[in-house]
Amino acid sequence: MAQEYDVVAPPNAKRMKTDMAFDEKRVLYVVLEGCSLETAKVGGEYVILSSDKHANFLRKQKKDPSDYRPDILHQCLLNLLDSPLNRAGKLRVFFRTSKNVLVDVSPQCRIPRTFDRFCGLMVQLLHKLSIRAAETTQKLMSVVKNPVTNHLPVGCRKILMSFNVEECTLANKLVTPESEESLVVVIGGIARGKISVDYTDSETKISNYPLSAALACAKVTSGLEEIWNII
Amino acid sequence: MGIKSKPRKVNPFELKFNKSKHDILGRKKGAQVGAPTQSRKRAYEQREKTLGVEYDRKNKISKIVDKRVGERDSTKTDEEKTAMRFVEERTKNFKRAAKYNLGEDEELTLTHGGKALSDIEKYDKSMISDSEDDEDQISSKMVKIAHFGGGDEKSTEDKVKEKISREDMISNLIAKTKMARNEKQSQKDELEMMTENLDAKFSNLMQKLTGGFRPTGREKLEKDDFDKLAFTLKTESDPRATPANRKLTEDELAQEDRANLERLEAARLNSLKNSHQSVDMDVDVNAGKLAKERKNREKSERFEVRFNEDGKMIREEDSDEDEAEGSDEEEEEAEDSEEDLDDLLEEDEDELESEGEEESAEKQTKKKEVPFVFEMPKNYKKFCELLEQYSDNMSDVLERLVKCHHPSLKEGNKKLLNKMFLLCLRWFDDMSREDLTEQVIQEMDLAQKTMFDLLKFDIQYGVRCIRALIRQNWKNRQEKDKSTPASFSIISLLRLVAGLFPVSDIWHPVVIPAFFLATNVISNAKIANLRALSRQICLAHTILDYVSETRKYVPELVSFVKSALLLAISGEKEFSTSGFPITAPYSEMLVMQKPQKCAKIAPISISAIFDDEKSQEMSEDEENLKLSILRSICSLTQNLRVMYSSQNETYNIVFRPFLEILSKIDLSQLPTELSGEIDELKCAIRAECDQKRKLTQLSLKKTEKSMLKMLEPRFEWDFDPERPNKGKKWDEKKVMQKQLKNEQRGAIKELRKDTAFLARKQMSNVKSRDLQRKNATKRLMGGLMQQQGEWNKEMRTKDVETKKEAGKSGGKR
Repeated sequence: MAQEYDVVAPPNAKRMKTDMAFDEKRVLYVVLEGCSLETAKVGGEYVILSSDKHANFLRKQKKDPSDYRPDILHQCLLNLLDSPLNRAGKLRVFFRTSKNVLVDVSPQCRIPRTFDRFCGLMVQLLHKLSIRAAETTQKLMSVVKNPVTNHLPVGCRKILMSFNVEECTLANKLVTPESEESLVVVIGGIARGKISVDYTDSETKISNYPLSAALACAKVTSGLEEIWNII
Repeated sequence: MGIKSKPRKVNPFELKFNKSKHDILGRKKGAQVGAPTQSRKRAYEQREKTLGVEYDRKNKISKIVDKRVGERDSTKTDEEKTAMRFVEERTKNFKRAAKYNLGEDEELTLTHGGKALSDIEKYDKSMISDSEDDEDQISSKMVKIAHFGGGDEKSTEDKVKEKISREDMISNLIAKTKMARNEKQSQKDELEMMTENLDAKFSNLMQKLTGGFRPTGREKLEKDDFDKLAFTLKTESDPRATPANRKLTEDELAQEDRANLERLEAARLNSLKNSHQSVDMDVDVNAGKLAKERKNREKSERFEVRFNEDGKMIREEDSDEDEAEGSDEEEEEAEDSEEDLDDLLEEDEDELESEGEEESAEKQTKKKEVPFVFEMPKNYKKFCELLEQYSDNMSDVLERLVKCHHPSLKEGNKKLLNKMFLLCLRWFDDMSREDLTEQVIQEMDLAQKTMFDLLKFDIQYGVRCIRALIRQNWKNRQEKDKSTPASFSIISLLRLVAGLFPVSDIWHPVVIPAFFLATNVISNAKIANLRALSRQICLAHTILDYVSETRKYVPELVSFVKSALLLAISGEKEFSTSGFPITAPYSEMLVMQKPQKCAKIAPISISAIFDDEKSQEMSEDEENLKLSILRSICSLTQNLRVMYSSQNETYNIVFRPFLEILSKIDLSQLPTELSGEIDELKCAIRAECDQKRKLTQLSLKKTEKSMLKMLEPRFEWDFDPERPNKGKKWDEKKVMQKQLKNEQRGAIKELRKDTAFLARKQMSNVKSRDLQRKNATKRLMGGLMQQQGEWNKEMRTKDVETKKEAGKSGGKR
């Protein structure tokens, strides 16, 4: 297993069960809630519904086109998985769609750069329930069982990012540099509105201005890179 | 009909609803609602139609099927049925082509045997003619007359006759047919005969004609001039075809030579006797002499080119080599004679002593003139005497000896030549041990040349002799002089081997031992003075010649050169000296004490090295000798460098130490010529070393920053969610197995249902029959009971009546 990684092992790497004491320390878990990722058969083809491409179709189906924004998820994933934090093996990403599909994204996954290709990949994911690497059989994305707390470390701090709260913490003050604990940050992958989940401890904001989901992801990762000294 | 097609409204309680798990927009939903009772009913009806009918017909053998048209249709009236039959009949007879024959439809044609009667009449004649061919049957005409005859006058007469006797008529008929048949047969035979006759005539004619035709096949090519010429040369005895002067074989040549020599000898003796020489003879003899002299001169000139009068060479290396060559040869000879063949020689001498004396006496008388024919000398002493006698014309003497004893001339000549080879070898060896003069070197050269000639006749013997000589030298070195430097005899032996045999062979019975001898000498000899060193250098050059072609790596040679170079370094030495054993006082023998300004460095002189007497003189000139030796070593190094330059892998290992040693030599003490040479050598070695130092150690390429390796997700371009396993390669066998299993399961299910259906049907049959029987019984019982009741009733009334009657009668009575 170790040969597959270039020195740094991803946080989800399989380990021997013997070293129970070993716990992955200082890992940032990001959960993107309420992402819109829905397949539909449009014109004989299965696609991810998006507001600008399938507006007419959505209107026919009596849906609001502005709710279908898979590009937000795309941007967020690009920002997260390309961050130095991820390359250093200190980031894990989950996202949950508005249809309650929870997906575990492997840190080794290279997200397609173009949106069309990303959509194609997501169609595959939603139908086959997992995406594997091109050369190996390693799983890069897989649909996992709800709830998401089953996949998060026990007893760690879980923060929900929201604009409508009083408390504001800068991204580079989210954790103390001394603490070895992991951190869970929940970010809404939505265009507008507020998400409400039941498993978070606290709500906070990292800026006094409303941030897009992708920007929030970027800020959180860069802040933690600063704290954990990943340059 | 419209009412029927409208679906019957299904009871909602009979419906079954399917729940969908994943709702995907735009996808058509499949059957969401099912009606199980409906489908079950449909299945029952289907079974009733198929399996039920079969069950009903079980154990029944035959059945009547009414195939009349429209007979089973109860809705049709009789008229309609007849119309249908007519239509059926017409369509059956309807021909496709007939539909264009307008108006002919209604015409009815009479047929007989499927053919229209008109047709039959039309082809009557042809039919008769056809039947005539048929010989087995009676002609149809006759039959016709016989069967349907009537109307004709004849036939009436026949009829009358027929009435008289039927048998007669039949026999008549038979006779007629036979006659007709015979007639036909005879005609046919005649025709055949005529055809055969004509055929025979034709073939006859053809045979006659065939002779006149041109034969088929290829025409002969015309001969051109060359062919004609070749043919004439082959067949006719053309003077051009026979060679004017045939090429002589070796034997014939030898005989001719011998005859020539004998003729000349006779002429010489004759002239001596007569003291009168014919002009021709004189010319001839002089010519022979002149030729010999010329040869000698040439040889000596060849030497002169290389040697100075003192035996010094013009170029150092060349001279060394030449000298060494000469000496090599000599040594070899000596050894052979001593070792293996001494005994033989001695025997020969004993036997033939007396004769030898006579000969010598004869020869002494004819001292001045060289005879053309020689007897083979019996022993070494005689051989030496002979050579001394004609010391001016040694080469001629030897040449003539060889020619006179060519093996093809006489039986034992080969043996004699072998002996001569041995003698030459011994002569060569003896010479090599004598004091080194130009005369000696010339004689050695002569001996080598003779041996080379002799080797052609019996190479195995020659190999044996020289091997023996080498062995003797080897033993000598092992036992006695282990650490003495190379003598002139050893070097000359090595040179002789090099001259007689190919040194570049990987394995050679003579060269390899000689090579071992040389390497042994070069690595073991103790070097106590400059002369010893220069001798060893001479040997090193010889070894270099051995390997110059094969480029074999000789570790002894390389380490010798290295150690020799070390002698030129003063002070403490951080290099090991494994080349040869050397002791402390001599380890700096090549170091210059004071700056040398000799303008010209003379090459080492051979005679100076190997001559013991001259050594004393040389000691005075020691500084000059040092320079010469150093220069010689440099040239050796240069040779090695060039020779091993093709060894890419080991070059650095071998020559880097040389570079270090050379850089340690104090150049300031040396004359400019030599120091320049050493500088050049250093530059050359350094350049070559740098060029060949390509060996780098393999190492893993290190990444700049350790980080997670990103993997590209597997993207399927033609992904179809409705057929997610489209691209997958299925195992054919597994697919078939799965299909089989499915089918089996379905079949079992169907069979179960069939069984259940049949059981139900059986049960219902049994029940209905039971019921029927019960009813019948009931009815019967009812009837019987009624009958009984009636009977009882009747009996009762009878009783009453009888009683009444009885009462009446009684009353009457």
